[in-house]
Amino acid sequence: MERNNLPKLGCSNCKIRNISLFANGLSDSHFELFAEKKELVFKKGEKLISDGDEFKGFFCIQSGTIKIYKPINNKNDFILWFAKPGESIGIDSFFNNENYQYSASATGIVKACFFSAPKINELMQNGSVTYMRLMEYFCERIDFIEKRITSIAQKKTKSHLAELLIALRNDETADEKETNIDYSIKDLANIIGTTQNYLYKISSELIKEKIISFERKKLKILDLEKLSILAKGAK
Amino acid sequence: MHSKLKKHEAPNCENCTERGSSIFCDLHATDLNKLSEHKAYNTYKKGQSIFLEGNQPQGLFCIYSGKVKIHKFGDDGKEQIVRFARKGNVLGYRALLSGGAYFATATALEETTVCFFPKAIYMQVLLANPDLCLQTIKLLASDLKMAEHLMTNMAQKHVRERIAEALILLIEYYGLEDDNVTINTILTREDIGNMVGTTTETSIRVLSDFNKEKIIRLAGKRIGILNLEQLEKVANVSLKPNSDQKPNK
Repeated sequence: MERNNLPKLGCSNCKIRNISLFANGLSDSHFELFAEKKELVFKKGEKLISDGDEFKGFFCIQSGTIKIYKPINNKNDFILWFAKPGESIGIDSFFNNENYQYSASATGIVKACFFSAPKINELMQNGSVTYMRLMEYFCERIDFIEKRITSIAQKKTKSHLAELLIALRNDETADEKETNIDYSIKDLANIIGTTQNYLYKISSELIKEKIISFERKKLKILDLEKLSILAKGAK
Repeated sequence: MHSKLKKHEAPNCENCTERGSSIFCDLHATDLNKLSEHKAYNTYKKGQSIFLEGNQPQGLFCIYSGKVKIHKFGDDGKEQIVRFARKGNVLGYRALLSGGAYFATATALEETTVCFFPKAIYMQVLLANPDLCLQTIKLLASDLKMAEHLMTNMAQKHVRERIAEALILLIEYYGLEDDNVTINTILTREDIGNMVGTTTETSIRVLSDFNKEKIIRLAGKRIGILNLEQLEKVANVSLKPNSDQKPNK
């Protein structure tokens, strides 16, 4: 975990603070406590936390995307979700009073702040992290997971893929017609819980129907409207 | 729906026998009395819905007795059970906390009595009590863990493993009857199918296989566990979900 330490940024100047757990924090003076936090950089593929390891603290992502997954014996990892800037990794294990329940690794260069376990109670007691913000955060996460449970259980893989592509599209590159997807076929197969070969087959069908395109390892949504109809389970 | 409800006099929260296992365990008498003064107390028959997915929440429900399933409906109207609840558990808190509509539907699995706390009173007590906030956060963290566990199983495990694990979850959650064999809840084959994301036919077939293999004993809708060790082996259980609504401190 001892990665390159960055010069201290300070939470009061942080650009993603208003979408993080610290969004409703009482005032900047409370952020003095954060002098002890570590600002770290991870390269692609480096692990932030490992499933089953003892809980030592949580990460708040400043930039980059992190793959959150359950390692599966003799199979590919099962991806639970992709965490983006502002999200907190591992905080649930603090409240469940247990070891980390998933692994997290960087999908590219990731900058993240690490808050050690002994400081978490202090963060709540001094009002830096409000209880309401924590509750909202967990509600959002559960909602996302429960929707995916229903999709996994009930939707055909093609509809599930369509739904996933809509959920994962990169808003920054979105225009009316075309949207980029930053994830590989392998990632998508590991999220849905199917094989890469089967996902290639389904993607090919969508490419033939001109709903998506696949060039230079990049997926693009060409027809969001048709994809949305497909995501709802329509044939 | 409400015309069918039985009305009773509500027990005071301070004297409630289930309070120790609920999120209200650490509340002071003043707050408990405030909750008691404003609450309603209703009994729902088996199959009656306590609240419906998509409706706006008016308050918080707390189960006094009985069993409840929490389920969502897919785009084609097919049911998916995401969680179960038992006495002492609260229902509908996520919609209240996130300010949106109910995420799922809650339906009584047997005659169930619930207390209902109006939104304004509950939020007033919640915001004034850091302990209650912390209990609620722990409850949400535990729900999240269970949901992630269920999702991973759905995607990775074979239907036979999933049904075996669903039975183990029911034993952990509702326990066994006095005979130490029969699971202390009655679920239809359709419910079991909707728990693990399979059809009623497959659910019937797999349970029947377990019955033939003498892992379980089927007697109508009642399911007895004859060989728990073998059931755990079939389920390939590596992690037992924490089903207690009041997580450990």
